[in-house]
Amino acid sequence: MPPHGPVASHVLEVREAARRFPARRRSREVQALDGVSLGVRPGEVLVIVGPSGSGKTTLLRVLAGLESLDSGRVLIDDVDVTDTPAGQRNLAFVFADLGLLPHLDVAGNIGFGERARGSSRAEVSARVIDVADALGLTQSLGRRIDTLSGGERQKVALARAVIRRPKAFLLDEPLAHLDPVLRSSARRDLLEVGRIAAAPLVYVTHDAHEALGIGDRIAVMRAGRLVQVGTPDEVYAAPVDTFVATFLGPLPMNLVARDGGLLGIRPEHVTITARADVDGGVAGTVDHVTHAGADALVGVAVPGTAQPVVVRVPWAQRPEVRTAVNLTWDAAHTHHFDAVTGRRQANDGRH
Amino acid sequence: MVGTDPGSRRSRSGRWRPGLLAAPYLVGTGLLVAVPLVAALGLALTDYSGLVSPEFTGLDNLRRALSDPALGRALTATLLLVLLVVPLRLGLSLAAALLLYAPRRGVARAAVFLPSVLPDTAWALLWLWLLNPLYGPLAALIGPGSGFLTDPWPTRVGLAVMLALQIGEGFVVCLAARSMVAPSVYEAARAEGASRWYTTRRVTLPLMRPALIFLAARDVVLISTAVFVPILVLTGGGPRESTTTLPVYLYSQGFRYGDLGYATAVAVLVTVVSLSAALLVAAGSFTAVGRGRRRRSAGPASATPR
Repeated sequence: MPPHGPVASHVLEVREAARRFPARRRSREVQALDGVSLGVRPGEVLVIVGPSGSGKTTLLRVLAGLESLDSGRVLIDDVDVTDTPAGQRNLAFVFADLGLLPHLDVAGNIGFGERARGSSRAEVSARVIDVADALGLTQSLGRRIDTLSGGERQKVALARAVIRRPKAFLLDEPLAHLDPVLRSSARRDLLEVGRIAAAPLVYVTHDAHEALGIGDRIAVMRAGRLVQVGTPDEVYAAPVDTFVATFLGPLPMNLVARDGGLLGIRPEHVTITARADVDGGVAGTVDHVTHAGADALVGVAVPGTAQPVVVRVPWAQRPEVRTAVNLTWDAAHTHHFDAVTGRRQANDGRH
Repeated sequence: MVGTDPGSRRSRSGRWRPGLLAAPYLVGTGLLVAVPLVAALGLALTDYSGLVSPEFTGLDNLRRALSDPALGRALTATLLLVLLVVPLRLGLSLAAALLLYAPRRGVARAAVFLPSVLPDTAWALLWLWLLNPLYGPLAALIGPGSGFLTDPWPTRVGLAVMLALQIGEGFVVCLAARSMVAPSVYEAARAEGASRWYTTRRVTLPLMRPALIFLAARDVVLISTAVFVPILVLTGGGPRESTTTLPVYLYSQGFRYGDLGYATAVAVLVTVVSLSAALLVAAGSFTAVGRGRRRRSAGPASATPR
């Protein structure tokens, strides 16, 4: 898989990035990045997603200049910035815990970077008012950080990023500390900010569902390596291996051993019928039924498969537990993986 | 008690438990602080030499203290020493803490703490040698006529340096205060392109401010009421009373001249004065914080990042 397609000009890019964290007293050596190449295109939302410890935050910090590389390069607009300090890269970083300054008020936080970079007080003050206005923070400018709600703090961190007019926004799990109710509106704010600033967003999350929802492109990481990069459609419809297949999506893909390989099938592509109308397909027994809003997730135990096959059916059509059922699927929606390497095989039903 | 039935027994014992737990401390405080304090207040109203029983004289001691020129000189000497030592100690503790905050500086940290571990007497004897005008290395470094231990100002400065190097507790408090600052705050400052100096001035110092205020107030009280042994050993209050601070003065009144009643009255005065000074230091800094907050929260017009 080529890490970046035909040369679209990249706003921000890493090439062959490698970073190893040496063993410490309480942790083993970690290869956080292992030959990662990835480019960020103008105006896009690029989501870096992976389980914890996959190196996604390290990759983001390398882009920002907060982490150094053992080998490899970082480029901004095709200019090598590998040795440029973080503060001079003109990228905005939003930290998972926001990194707000508790002793300053909202205005002081928003303008902190501008002042630090030497802009005059009057100049910064005018910019702060503009940015606060755009984000609906005007009323809060004089408030202290510890009097703000989670959503408001999030906006302050965003305002501090926006005021810089950065080349790109780097967001490290920016919604992780927000409660679910606030999350969707905060997410809209984020995307809106990127759109208005006409700068790409690089968004790190461990939430595969979120990644599918907001990414123009998704980069899936595992154990320091980039596993797959593509649009949500591409990655969801044609995962390169069993890891991506089971990690990405609202539900993991079902994997069933078949013909010396692994057959992959998404829960929404399996049809359950009563055992009576057997006409091919796979026989099984309903193991459990889980409520999923409008749908039911039906786990069907199939002989020879360790995990029950999960099937998504409308709630009203759910079968009873312990009934015998028959599972069928359209070959067009199946995926084939190598049983040993887990890699996608060419002769699958799609392509 | 935890885990037993939650009925009346538990709530009854629960009501008494805080008092029970505090009892040993309360008894100690009562016997060692409150009782002597009340006794001192009584003694301050008497003429008492320690040889014959005290004789009640009312407010005579207070009147005498208020018109005692030697007490005025002691107050001045104390004030000068406070002005020299407190900023020095604060600056040194802070500088040492910021420099030695990084990991693997254990030896250097121990070195900073070491002077505070030495007994006061040993430390003062060491400085008595260092500052000796005839054979002391420091005096030799500066040359003849350094004036250490013979002239008021060089002696004050020498004494101040000696006291300022005993920063063990202040250093530890500063280290702790520094480590309370979230690392992400520094990462944010770095990502924003703030220089190290700017970050120290605008992030580290404001966030460590409560600890620094506490240390300043504590040192004001310590030097004006408690620091005694090293001064007595190093200078004995001289030359020409230039280092006769309040504790040294009341020691000589009480134990050299046998005027315990008067010395106690002075001690009570000193306590009141040093407490007020400490409160002033604390209150001053807090109102400064409050004023800044009010100024900045005056609406959008205040959108000036400092």
